[in-house]
Amino acid sequence: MAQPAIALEAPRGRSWAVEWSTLLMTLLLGIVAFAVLAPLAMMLLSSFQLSAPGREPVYGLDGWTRVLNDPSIRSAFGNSISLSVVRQAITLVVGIGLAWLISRTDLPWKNTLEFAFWVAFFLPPLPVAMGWILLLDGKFGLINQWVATLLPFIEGPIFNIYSFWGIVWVHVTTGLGVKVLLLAPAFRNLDAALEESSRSCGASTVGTLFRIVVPLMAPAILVSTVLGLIRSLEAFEIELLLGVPIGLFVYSTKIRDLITFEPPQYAPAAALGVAFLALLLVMVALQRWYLGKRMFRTISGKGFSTRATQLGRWRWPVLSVVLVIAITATLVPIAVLVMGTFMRAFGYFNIPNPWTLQHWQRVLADPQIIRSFTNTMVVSTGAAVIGIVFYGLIAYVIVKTRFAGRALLDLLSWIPWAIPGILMGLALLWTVFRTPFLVPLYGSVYLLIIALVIKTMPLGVQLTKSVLLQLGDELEEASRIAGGSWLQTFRGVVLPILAPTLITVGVVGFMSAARDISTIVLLGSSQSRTLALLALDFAYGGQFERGTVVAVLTVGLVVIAALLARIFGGRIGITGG
Amino acid sequence: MTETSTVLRASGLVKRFGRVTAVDDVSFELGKGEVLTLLGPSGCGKTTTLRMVAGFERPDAGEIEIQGRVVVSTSRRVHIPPEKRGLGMVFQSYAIWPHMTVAENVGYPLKVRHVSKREIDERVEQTLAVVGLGGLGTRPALLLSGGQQQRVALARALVYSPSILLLDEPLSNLDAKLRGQMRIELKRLQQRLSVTVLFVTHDQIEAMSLSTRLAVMNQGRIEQIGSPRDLYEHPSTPFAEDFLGRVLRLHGTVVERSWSGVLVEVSGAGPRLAAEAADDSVAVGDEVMVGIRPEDLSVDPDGASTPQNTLRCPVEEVLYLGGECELVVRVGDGTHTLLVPRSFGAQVGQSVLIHLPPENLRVWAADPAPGLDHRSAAELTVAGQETA
Repeated sequence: MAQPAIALEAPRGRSWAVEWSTLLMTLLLGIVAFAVLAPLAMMLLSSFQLSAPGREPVYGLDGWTRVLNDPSIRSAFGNSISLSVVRQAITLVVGIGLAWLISRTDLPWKNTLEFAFWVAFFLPPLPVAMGWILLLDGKFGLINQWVATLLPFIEGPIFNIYSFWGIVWVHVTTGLGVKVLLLAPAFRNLDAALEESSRSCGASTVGTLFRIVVPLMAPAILVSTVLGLIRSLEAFEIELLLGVPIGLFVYSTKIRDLITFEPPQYAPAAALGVAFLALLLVMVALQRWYLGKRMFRTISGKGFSTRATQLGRWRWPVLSVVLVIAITATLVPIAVLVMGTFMRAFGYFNIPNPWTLQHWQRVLADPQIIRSFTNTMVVSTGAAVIGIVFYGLIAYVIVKTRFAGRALLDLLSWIPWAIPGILMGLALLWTVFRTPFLVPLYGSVYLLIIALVIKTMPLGVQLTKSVLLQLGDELEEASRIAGGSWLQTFRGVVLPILAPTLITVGVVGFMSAARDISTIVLLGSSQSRTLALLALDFAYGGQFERGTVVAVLTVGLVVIAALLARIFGGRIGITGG
Repeated sequence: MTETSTVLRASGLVKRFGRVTAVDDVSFELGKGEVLTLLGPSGCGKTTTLRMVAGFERPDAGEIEIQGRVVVSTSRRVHIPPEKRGLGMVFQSYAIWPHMTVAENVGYPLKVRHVSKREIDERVEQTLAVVGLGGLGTRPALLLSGGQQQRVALARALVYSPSILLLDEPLSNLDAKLRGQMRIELKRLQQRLSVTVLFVTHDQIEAMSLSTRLAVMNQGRIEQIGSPRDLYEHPSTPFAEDFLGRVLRLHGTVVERSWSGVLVEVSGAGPRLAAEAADDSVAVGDEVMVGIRPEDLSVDPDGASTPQNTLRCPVEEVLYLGGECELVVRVGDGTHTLLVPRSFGAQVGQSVLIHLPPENLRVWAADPAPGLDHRSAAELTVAGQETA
């Protein structure tokens, strides 16, 4: 609270104490504004700067003319859009079906299935993509090999993962989880009477689904679609692994390409980033304006008890289809990936001693791995701990104080939502280059921590805010009137109620950091790279077997963190009083 | 009330939110062992007044003294925070801390006062027994029912014997049956502990039954302050008359004024009514409104003669309610609803005689000021409707 906790007879003392808390909140606002806006300003500036960073600056429009005229950049832009739209269309249709089956019908094993999709949501995209490469690579992919053996009359591979549709496929399998997660609770809150009245008017189950349920769900479906579009526009590693080898670029891999080019093409990279960012900011602004701030609502365990739609004789056939989808989205790529780590040469079962531990032995003895593992732990823990304090403070100021700048703070904390990881990294890179006192951060793990803390800010702040909003003022006031000071109230009442959320925010921060590639790929050096970055370097640099081992390690870390989040997450949503 | 027994003195309280003046020059005193109720519709400033006493809102002007100590004064630039005012408060939502047990909730005020562990346990158990929750100390607070949570909130507010107990609509979240029960218990508890209470409610039944004195608030001001009986029987403003209990309201014009009262001609060509009590400002020719409590009037079947102060009113609707009948009758320009015994036997198309004794009629200047006559005449019911 903004009010000082002391009785003050002297006017001078009172105004000083009021200013003290205001000063701290202004400082917080300043830090958030700098962290969010400075990188964007730097990126904009850099799009006009033609000379390399650190040199005498020369300004011009060359970067922008190249973005507008270079056909490869134009096609990357087009690929980004077309890939996003195609995947979203597929995941939306399949996701609605799955969410409805899981939440509104008498499908068996619904909880297990929902858990499977929940796991799919947390699986890092890179290991999943690697698993699919092992299965669907044009030459050595297992499925393609089997087809060639069993059906020798078919020419060439039946499906090559290195293709437009290969990218779509991997994204669909990784994207279904989040769709089901977002839509199932919304479906669950629908009054069953609305469905039943449609049935009593003579509509079939499927007719009811599309005529009644889907229109009623339109807002929730729209939220998840816009959310999905924004998220798919920031995809990076799948496109890098599957698209770049065949010359299929999206804007994010194009930016990386321009930066890793010799000499680096900073101005067009920045211009491309600014153009894309403008597009995303418009989308996010529209979504925020249209739908309000409903995206991160924490879902507590309670749902309506609604009567399930009977699937009848379709019950078991439908279950087998859903099971296949769930297993394909989770178990298949990861199992194949794990198997890959133990094969001398992947896909060759007929050579003597096809199984080996040598990849694990070699990788675990590699000092690079030890360093990357340490980096991952330092970066993820750092991002988690700093995130808890930082997001908690921001959310508290927004919800619980009368600070004049709190609306601005709220808005600023949202902006990173619109910034794809790769652009965040790019923007921070320039901020560091252009700010002399920040230059030592380059190549250190601290820069990665800063980037990740900014990146996860919208999620962390919204999660904390949603719980603080439920925490009615009266809970705090009851403590004050009972004789507790502000500090005693914070320690005795606010913090304990907030603790499960803060822990969840920390675990989510840890997990996002451990699996992140796009935000930190441009910021990490060989000294500061994390396991996820190392896996990418191995996989992209032709050491696929070693890459699989590192990828399995990241999956392990993320799954452990996700399970922890689920344990604590179950306690989110306490209603105060 | 003597000087020494005054526990709370509020004077000239003003609170503005932006351009709205929520509390406008409110002053009152609260004596030891007294229950003072701030009663009014939502938005009348009663809760804001309570929150200024508690210390959650700072007044823009005015002064509050608790037991002779100035806790807030704009002229002296004093503001003592809530935790240093030694008050107890029960919130509308109860504000039970969900992460603590019942005993931890109740013991919290003692804990922050650094009372020893043993004494805390003792006093918590005593207080829980007082509110009827003995033995439930180890329960997680969230597993309690609404009524039990309310008792916990009460115990937590009483455990350190505060100088004043503040109650902010404590019964409004309970269902009707439980509310009646808690009202009785609250009254007994207050008398047993002779605790001083400042009570905020919009429910006139709670206010009437629990208070030593009542302050009816409207638009940030206290309209009238006094004992419940005083306010009910002798309201000094039409708002107080209207808010506290039910009232039948007629409109008319003053045709005669004498030392014993006024004569009013009811609009819509009705007969003339004599009334004993009237606003001093009312003069011949003025538009006025007339009010009477439904229990003070009598309804009779139509007869040949019409006595003094009696209106003959056509029945427009009869609704059979079981134990009684509801009559919708036309009086002058409007309709009114009356409850009569089922044996009354009125039928649509007939008329009834409504007798309005002059000593129970009050005449107010028909001041169209907003908030005074906040319901239109046609909506006014004589009986059978709770004032929300």
